[in-house]
Amino acid sequence: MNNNFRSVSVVGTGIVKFGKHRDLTVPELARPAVMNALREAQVSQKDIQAIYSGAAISGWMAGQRVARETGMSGVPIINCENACSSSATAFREAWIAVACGMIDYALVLGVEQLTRLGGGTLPLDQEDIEVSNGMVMPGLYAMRAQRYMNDFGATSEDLASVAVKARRHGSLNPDAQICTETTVEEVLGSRRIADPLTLLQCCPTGDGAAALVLCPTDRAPKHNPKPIKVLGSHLASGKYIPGFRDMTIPEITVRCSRELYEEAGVGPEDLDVVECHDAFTIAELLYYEALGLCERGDAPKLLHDGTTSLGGRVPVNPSGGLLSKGHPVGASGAAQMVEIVRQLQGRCGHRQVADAKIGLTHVTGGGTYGFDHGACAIHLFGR
Amino acid sequence: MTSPTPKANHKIQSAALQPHEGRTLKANEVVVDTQGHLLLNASKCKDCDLSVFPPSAVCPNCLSENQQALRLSSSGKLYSYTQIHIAPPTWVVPYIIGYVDLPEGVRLFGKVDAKSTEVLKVDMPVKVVVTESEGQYRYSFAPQG
Repeated sequence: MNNNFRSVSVVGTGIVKFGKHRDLTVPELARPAVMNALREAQVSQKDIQAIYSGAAISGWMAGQRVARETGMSGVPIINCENACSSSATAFREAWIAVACGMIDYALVLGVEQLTRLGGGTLPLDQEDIEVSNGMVMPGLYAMRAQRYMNDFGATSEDLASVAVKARRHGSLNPDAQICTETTVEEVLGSRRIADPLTLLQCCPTGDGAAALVLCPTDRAPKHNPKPIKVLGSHLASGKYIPGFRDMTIPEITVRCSRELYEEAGVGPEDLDVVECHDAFTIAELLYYEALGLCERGDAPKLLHDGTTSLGGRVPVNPSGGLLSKGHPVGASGAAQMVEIVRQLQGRCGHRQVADAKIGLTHVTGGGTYGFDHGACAIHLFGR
Repeated sequence: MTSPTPKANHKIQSAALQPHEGRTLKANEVVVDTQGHLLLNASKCKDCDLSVFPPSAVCPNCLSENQQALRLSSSGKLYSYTQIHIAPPTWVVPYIIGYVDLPEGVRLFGKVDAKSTEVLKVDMPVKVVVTESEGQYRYSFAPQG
């Protein structure tokens, strides 16, 4: 990190309930989140100097379309597409712009309307040599699961328990797409998607939006009684490895988190709450290990002993995560940040993590051959 | 040819009505050995030794154009696999996919020719089978033993 950077804080957050919002336009979907973030920050839409928007499949210029209907047209707008890391990438760009002093007030937006695709697996690029041979995203994660179960003795019940925890947390989140609890039996008995993954081990198709307002930390108290500092921001891209690769090690997440921890002077032992990219059950287990929350092969133990559940030492995905809260691809990064900021502000009601001081968000994704994933963005927040 | 009708085919334009059979190999990706067997052809960088499939005229690592053909073995190990039950409309489900590691240091992705995953195990030996049909070449993996 540049030593001349100013400290930056989040002073406003907004999110809409994730779900199937086919009847809305993208700007209509995003507007409540934007308005709430502005209101919380006590800034006028006319004070926003730039918009950083993340969306993956919701059409060109999502940022401009939303700005048109929220009184912010005309300012510089940066539209970011980085698969599942789109709005976290947008947040990072906003953070850099404020930190370096180029602007003082930035709006970050994440928005996605997956229902316009009609459901099913995400449409991947047919030019890709794996996609054109039958690869789908659940298949990629399923092969990681197959190998992880083989190498470490993990079971289908271990995988299903991730979904059970996610749904337990999600049942406490009124903004979650799926707000009901489930059981290991129900998860394992649901429709097969890509063995060993069943339907309830895959994030649902849905629509959603989230927004945040950033400003320099020295101005933050004027805007919010509980501003939350950005302690660190890191973005990594996949390394092209055409040969053998251990699919149980999400290399991009390992690298991105290590570099961020070093930059920020914060370690996994310092984290009070985490939102990670649990697009499929196996992902959360692999990310416990990749983020340094436990040793290789110990993820099922960490899950079962309650460490990562609400009430545990470091609750993971108190929002319900992608599995329960939902995964409108481009919106997920910003949505995770809204959750972590509100956790650190003590505003999360029945799913509140007691006295949370430091939180981490982690998104990664993008299915394209030769990479673990295309992009990974990790952020640290503190009060 | 009796092919299962893909689900939801009313959405598919007539040009794409055929069920998806998998990626067709380009001419420089297939070679015939002296016994007439079809094999896959990769490339190896003479400068940094990186092997890649599909073959590339330029090394994706060091950008050298000094590339040699690399004939890939037809025997490998199944690194991982899964049976797919949901896929885009032109694919007929279920089907099995997997990654196969070859002695040349190349990992291939493709369909596994098996009725069920019950006969499959991680690290089991497989054959890379290249087939020709109506002038189009494809490969898949046949489990051994």
